[in-house]
Amino acid sequence: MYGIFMECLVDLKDFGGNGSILVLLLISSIYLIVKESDIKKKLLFGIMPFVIVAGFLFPITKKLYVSEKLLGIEEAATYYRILWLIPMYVTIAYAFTKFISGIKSAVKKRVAVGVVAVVIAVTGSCVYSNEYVFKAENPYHIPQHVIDICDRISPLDGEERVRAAFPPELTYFVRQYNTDILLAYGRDYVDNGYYTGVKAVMSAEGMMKTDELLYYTRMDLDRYIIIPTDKEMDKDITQFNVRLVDTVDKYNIYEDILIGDNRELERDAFVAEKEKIYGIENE
Amino acid sequence: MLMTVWSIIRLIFFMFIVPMCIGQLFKYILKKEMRRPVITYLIGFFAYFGVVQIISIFCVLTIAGQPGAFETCFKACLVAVLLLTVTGIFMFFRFDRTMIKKPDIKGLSIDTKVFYGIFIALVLFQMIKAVVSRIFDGDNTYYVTQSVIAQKIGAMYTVDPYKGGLQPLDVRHALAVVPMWIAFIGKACGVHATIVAYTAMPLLIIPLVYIIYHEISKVLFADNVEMRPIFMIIVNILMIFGNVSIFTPATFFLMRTWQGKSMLTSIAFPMIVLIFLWIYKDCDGEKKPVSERASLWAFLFLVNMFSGMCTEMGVVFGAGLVMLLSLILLISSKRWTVVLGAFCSIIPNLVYLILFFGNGGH
Repeated sequence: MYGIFMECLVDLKDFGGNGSILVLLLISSIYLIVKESDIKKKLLFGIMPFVIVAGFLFPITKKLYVSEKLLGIEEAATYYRILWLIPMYVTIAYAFTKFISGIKSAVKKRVAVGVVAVVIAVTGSCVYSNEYVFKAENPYHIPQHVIDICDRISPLDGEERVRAAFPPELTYFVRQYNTDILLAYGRDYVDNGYYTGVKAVMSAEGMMKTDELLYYTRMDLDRYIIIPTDKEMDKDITQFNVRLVDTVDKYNIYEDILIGDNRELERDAFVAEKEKIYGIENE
Repeated sequence: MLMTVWSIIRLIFFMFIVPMCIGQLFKYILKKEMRRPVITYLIGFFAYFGVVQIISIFCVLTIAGQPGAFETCFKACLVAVLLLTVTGIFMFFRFDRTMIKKPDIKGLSIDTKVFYGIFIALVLFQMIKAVVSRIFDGDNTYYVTQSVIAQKIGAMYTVDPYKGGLQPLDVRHALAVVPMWIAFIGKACGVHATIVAYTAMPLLIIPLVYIIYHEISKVLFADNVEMRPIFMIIVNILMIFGNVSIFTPATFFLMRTWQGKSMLTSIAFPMIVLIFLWIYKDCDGEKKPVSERASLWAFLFLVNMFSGMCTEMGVVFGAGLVMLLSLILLISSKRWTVVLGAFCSIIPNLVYLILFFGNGGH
């Protein structure tokens, strides 16, 4: 039980980040417990946050939340969402505004609003300075080079959908733009570390093994292979019935002619030959 | 160019005018002094989502495996939404053209006007930032792609969004049909669902969230208009500087605006708090007729439907919040009818759970 309690405490700390929001909430709730005359608002903004935090830290709540034999609401990684039940922003804003409303002088009131805003801003962290916020290049909010690559390889109306192997960092965006492009592996493989041969070769550091990559992409029937221009390959890929279609931004787009032209016998022969080296029994 | 303008007009219609028109029908469940444009829009918004939710879930559970399932779902939603909209327009012109009143700006002090100006500027700033910023979040690969799949291929949760290819119906996500609503808007307006999610949705959701908070400020500072913009400025600053961790509601609100779980924490939960603040206020005065007391529980019913539409977790959390706030009401009012009202309002949550577990969810 103590271990689970400590886990909950860590979850609370992770939720609070630098802790400023939790401190503001604590101050606000205590202030409202003392100053609020309406019993319902006192319970809602003063007492309820403490009840929810206490319930959150109570190990049995987490057991109920996580255990599939019990309630099994969600996985442990989302346990922090219980804290969303606290009307946090309303509580803090209400407490500070209530405090400001008690100030008689108009000038002091203006200063107080400024001070509160500065305190929140300085102790907080601006959403727009987050490392994952970038300048949008188009209304799709997808990196422009991904759109350009997709436009280059997407099938025309009436043509069959194409399968492509993208580097891990691009897999997040491709199908948000064009669902006619199928992927050798998706975001689930990248984020969860699932194994697939194409991903293993494409995400490996150092020099890329050309024929190993082609063994997996040809098994997977990937017509297009997108490779960063700065990625070194041990052999020239265009020597293996693969042609360079285009270079977009920092990515080379290659088309596997054996797949594009349905040269199945040659593809099968290549895969069979490389199977001896890279096949499961040889790993 | 003309096509773009036509798409923008349709986006305005389906995102802003339709909820207002549907609200004309549903506002009659509320007492007269609450039938203001803002509340009309809010109740219309939740009713609009409710209609799309019922049809989408019905389609997911019955025809999701068939080719072009979303096509059928889209047509049914479109007919229902347009019927309600036309009826709402009729109701407006036939019965109630007095609702549009100019706000009393002249009566406000200079300070209050300045504070309101700052508040509005902050909201506009967030809306502009949402349009001009690309915010990376891995979960979008699932949700946004599901919308695109529905719009382009017509499949409803039966195609693997990550790689493509067929997959069994994903019940865990399939009943939370926000992506289907985005696909509906995209198809109805001729706009790629990804553009709807990232560029159009924040323009609806960000002001909507602050409308809800402003209504909260009206209850908390009922007799002190001057304090409302100050309350709103503080809420705005808390949101903009709320990225203290990736788990806070502010982070979800401004970085994952279009996702169901973000809508749960930024729209559904504050709305539940607002409705309870209204109920608390009603309890303070003399005893109201049953129809009047039931009206807010009916509004809560719609919001609870919305919680389920956002995410399957919203069903449990939404009901939990209703229970906590009802407990406060029960303690303070000592009226046992509160239990009945609360129970009736969470019926959508119970139905959702039955559907979820009945279809193999776990």
